[in-house]
Amino acid sequence: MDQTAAFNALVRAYHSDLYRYAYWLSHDAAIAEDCVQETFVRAWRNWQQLRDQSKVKAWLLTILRREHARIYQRQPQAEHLDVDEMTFPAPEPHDDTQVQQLRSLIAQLPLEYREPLLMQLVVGLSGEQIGEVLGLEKNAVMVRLHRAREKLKQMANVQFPASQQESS
Amino acid sequence: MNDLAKRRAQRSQWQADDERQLQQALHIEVPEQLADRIMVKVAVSQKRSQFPAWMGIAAALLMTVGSYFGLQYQGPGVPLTAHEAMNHLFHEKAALQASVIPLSGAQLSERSDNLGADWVKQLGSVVFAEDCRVFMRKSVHLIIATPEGKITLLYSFGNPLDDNAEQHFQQQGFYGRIYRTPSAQWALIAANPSALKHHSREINQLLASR
Repeated sequence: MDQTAAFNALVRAYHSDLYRYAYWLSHDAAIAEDCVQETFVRAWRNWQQLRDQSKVKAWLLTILRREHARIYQRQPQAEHLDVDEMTFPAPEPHDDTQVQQLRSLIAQLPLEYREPLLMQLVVGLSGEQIGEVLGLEKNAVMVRLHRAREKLKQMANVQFPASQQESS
Repeated sequence: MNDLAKRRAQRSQWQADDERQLQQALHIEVPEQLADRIMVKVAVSQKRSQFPAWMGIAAALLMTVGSYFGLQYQGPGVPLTAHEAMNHLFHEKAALQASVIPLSGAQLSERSDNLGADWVKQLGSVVFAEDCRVFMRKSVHLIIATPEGKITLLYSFGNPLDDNAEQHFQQQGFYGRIYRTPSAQWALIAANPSALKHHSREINQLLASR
């Protein structure tokens, strides 16, 4: 397989995960798409530098996070989005109210908890891999993952008490 | 099963339900054919990166010197700007391979840097839009899918393309037309001449109405 074909296969394999990750970072579909496109452009330029193919996901994620930070440097006002102004994807027919509520809670989750959660559940990284991307020890990552879930539950109890009672 | 085991089983069931719901909430829809658009963008950037910034500056200097001596000697000119416009066509193959979907009005406005390129939607579906530079002029590079084939449109402020551009496009196996207004210039280039012929009257009418 030549380099272009290998890279295109990489795009097909990972663009969805990276788009979702970028979406949950920016809460904006257009920014997420630009971010993912730029990520792959930069990845292609630096393709030769990737020594360990098994780390490709973490490598792409590192590029994407830098790209996202760069976009936010250009648009600092976007950092202060009000949750009421955030646009969520149109609900799918099978999405229930709880999923929609959960989406609004995830969007409000502080970045230090949201990012490891996204890396684990959206990108499928292990605790160790998340630690490498975030520059944290594996134990610290596991603590953040636990706290992220706890925080979501606390927020749900405060913001949607009725639906929590229904579900329990 | 004793009470403790039952409670543990129930708790792990709740945890599994929570995880499933969390996964479901995070799993948002990905725009259709995003991978195709990424591959086109990578192809575009690949070609662009082959022309480093110093070459642009060198070309500008050559053009300045060339135009000075050009006034002294009216020899056969090299349509440098048309050549640069042709450099934007490398993407055609990639764009033709990728079955890219039309951009929305908002995407078009955003990617064309709000240069007022919305009118091209009347010609067909805009499947690619990117702001760029044609001979140091702020420009927008669009690909419009028409029933007669894809048309590349380079929309530039000022008049960076010279009168020999159309001839130069033809020498390269493409068909190009240059349209001018006092403030901007549109270069329409296609591999299939009928795509341009079919739309030339429409384009003239659209430009006249602006």
